[in-house]
Amino acid sequence: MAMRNTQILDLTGHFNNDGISSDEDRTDGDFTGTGQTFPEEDLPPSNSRVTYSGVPFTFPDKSDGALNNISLEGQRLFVSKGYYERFFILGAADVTSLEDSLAVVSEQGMHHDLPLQLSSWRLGRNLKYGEIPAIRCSGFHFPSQHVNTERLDVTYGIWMQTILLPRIPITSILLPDNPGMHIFALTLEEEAA
Amino acid sequence: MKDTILDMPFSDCEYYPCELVALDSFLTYSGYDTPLLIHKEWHFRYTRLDNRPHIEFNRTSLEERLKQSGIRIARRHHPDVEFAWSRVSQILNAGHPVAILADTLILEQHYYPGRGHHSGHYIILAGIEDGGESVCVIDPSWIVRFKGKMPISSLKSAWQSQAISGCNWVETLLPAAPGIIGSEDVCDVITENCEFMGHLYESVKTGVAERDGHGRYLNLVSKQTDTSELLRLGEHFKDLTNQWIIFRNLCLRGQKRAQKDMASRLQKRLARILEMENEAFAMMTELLSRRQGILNIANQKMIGFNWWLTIPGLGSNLVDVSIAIHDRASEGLGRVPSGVFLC
Repeated sequence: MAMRNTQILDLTGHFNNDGISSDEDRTDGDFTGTGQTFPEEDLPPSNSRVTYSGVPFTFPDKSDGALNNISLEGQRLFVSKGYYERFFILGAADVTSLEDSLAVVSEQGMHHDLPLQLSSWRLGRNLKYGEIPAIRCSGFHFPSQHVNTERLDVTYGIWMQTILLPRIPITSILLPDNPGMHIFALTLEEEAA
Repeated sequence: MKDTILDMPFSDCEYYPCELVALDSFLTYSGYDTPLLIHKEWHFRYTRLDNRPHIEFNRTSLEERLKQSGIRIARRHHPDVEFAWSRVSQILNAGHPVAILADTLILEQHYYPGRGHHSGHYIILAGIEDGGESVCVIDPSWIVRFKGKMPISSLKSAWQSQAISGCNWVETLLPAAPGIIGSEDVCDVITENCEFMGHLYESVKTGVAERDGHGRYLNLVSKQTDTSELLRLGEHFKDLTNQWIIFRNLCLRGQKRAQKDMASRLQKRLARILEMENEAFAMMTELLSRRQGILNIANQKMIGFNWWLTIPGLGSNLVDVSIAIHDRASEGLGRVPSGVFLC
């Protein structure tokens, strides 16, 4: 994917969910609300720079107890004021795929609603909303065990979703109140001058 | 005897049941700053009735919670109005207000906005007037907000009405000095509501499955009958399922992690869902009226889930969409997704 200048948004202050646990302590975190988590061992290193389809992201801190994703609850993410072509999300919905809408907000406070669709972290055949399967895991963690799903041809993972933006200068992104949707990383692509 | 009328305030608790509005007035009058126990963020009602999820206030826990703050509520009943009045008038003469349950049909002859049927309604008696001939009635409910005199004979008629199993009244015993309904109570309220979220989560799960089934079924029928309207309706049910899932997820999060704003978040989401439920109903109705014959739609049949949900600020809502497809063509489909209606 040909990319223009990108800006990786620092989401650390917005993280409110721990969705990752190590095999040493599978009780750490709760991605789904029912105790399931991503296996830390299957994910990129903490705070590392990762690239999927040419899009750079910073993968969050995976250590025990660390919050590492945003469970969407109407947070507002401030961005440097400017024109952007699109932004990319590393994320997934828990339990089931979800659709909602977010808003990009201009300096004057004008809201522009955009659809936000995230497939479930459980991938059977295809991702429901055309995301790119950025990270595939061997299964998931329950507090009691590592459930390996590879033999079932089912993977759990984190997907890259693309949101195309209108031609307006934006200052923030207003997320929906939809806690089943999770964002691990977000990168904006600037519009051509 | 000099008439003593208590200066009872009206309540700001909109949409609340009248008993709680009366209690709010009572606590405010008694010097309580914020009756957090009936705080609108955390007022839910829940019970089960006839296997249908039905929301109602957990009365016992309210009493228990108030008791922790030294506030005792005693619900009294006596079939003899004269006996009941002697008790209530004693309390009034001692300078304390009393909430009683009155029949609205009889109150309509005096001030209550007419609805033309019997129903029980809590009002506050704030003093005896005219040398014992009248009583000062305060109706603090936000839609009424009445303060005025009523002849005792009329009051007794409204009070002892058999339509509401009279005579019922509430005696509220307060500590000598008003205390603060403090953080411990808030924690209790939050804990209780986390439990409530659990109940709600379980209730909604069935609905999600049903709506999902409706959507799948309608898509299936639309393909078999090549009916675009059914396809649209199926898509609508798919969106509706998505909304119920989000609602369910909010309940799940509320259950796991107490959040003060959860009630308003649920409220907001529910408002959207109810809009969509109504749209589904309108689409169904239109489809039935236009496509009768073509789809062999013969008659209506109720399906779907049906329950009452009360959330502060939004009042009570009957969540009920009656799906009414009778499609003879679908009888030939053989397999229908489980849990899906078929007439």
